[in-house]
Amino acid sequence: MDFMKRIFEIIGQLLLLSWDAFRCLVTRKPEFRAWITQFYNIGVKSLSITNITALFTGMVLALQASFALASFGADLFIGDLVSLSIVRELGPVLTALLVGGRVGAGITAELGSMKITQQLDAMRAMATSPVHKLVVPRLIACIICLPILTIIASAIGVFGGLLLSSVELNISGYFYLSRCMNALQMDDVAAGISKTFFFGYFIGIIACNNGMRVEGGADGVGHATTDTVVSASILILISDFFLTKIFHVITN
Amino acid sequence: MREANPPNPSAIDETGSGTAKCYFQMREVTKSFGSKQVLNGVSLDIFKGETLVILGGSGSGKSVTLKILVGLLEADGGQVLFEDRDITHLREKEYYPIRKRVSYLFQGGALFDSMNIYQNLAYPLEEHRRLAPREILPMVRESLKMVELENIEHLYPSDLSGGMMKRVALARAIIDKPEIVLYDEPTTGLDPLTTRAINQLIRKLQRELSITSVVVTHDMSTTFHVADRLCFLDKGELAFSGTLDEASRTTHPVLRAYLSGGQS
Repeated sequence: MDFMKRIFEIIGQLLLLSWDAFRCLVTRKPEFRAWITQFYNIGVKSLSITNITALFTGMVLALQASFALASFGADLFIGDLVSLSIVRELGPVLTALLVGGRVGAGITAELGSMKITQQLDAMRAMATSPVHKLVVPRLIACIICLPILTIIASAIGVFGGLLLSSVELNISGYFYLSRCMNALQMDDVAAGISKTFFFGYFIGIIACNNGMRVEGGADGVGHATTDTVVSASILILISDFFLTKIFHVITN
Repeated sequence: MREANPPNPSAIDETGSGTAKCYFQMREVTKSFGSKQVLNGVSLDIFKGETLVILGGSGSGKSVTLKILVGLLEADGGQVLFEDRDITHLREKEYYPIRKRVSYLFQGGALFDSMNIYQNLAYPLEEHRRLAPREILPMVRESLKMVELENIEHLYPSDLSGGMMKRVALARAIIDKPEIVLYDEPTTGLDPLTTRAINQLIRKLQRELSITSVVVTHDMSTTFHVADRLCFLDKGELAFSGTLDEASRTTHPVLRAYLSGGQS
């Protein structure tokens, strides 16, 4: 019972913070300088981790697929399998999980430290809104950067499959890419990318909420940071199922 | 044990006609965190132009009192008035006009560690007055000079000592020319010389800028240096309110212990 009460409490907090952020976004002058800083911190700085992961995921997927498909003599269809898996599922989810870990933890730690050193109170005491100054730029950056990171990571993942197919399996690059283009429909790309707007929102709002509610000292920041990574990861995986289902219904 | 002497601010307009003579009034304010009662029916007035010291031990509710005044915390019961207007349960945005007139010096300074000193001091000016950088720089320098610091605009808070951070925080608190400054433990953790310098600064600000000050402290040297009037909080209750002369005649044992400790 307490667990359910806690879940509803957290949902309430997230909805309230989302509403505050939305109100700040539409009623106040945007802090473009802060937005750009966050685009850099959340987007540009995440590029290396998401791209390396995507490259090797594409390669290992192609390798595993070659083992399985070769027994049926279907290893020419590696391009279909890699591109569909990466674009529809692995690209969005892996990117979101990595960004959730790297960025979510960073946001919570930063805001949590500001909370325990009274910097958030100082903002409020100077008649300014921490939600407007801190939450909105981070939330917007998460929502916008994650789809972009996913597009780049998916392309690199497909390229990883191409690299392995041509080097290890002697499948020509042209053939691999033509299989990818043949397999991928616009709906697949749209469904994969659309999910990431939601993932970005989940990461941003959970990280900001946990950071702004830190209690205690460094210990509290540590707990909140861990909580952000766990909550964001679970929410990404659970919501992925439902979003996939919803997009499937919409596109069919 | 409650010895609630009536306030006696000699230099303050007592008529109260037309404009309010008090900035803040607390009426029977209560506040608790979970099962811990922090304030238990505290009533006090903050008169215009005075320096009020709120004295008390750790956990007596001093900082909570300051936070309730500007709405950083909400009172559970009782009433808080600002210039005779009830502000007990305002919404966050409704506090902004008050907070633009009141500055708050936090215990640890609460400087923004991602910003340099210039950006920290410029923050309230950029937010409230929308000034251009060429107008802000002289104001930042003037404010730093007021707290006897110069040529540190480019440094970050992590480059400063504790005393310098307090002084920079004080410079930020006064840069937008507030009417009231709330000091939360301004000298805690500082060496005697820096403590003395901060005490003199608080006096100087009151003298030169006519700022009303509320100083929360458990430091007796600060109390003796800056107080026009003294309130003593004990276990969440206002145990004494009056001038330092009146305090010297108090029968309250804890306050007597504080005063004798400060004079020894």
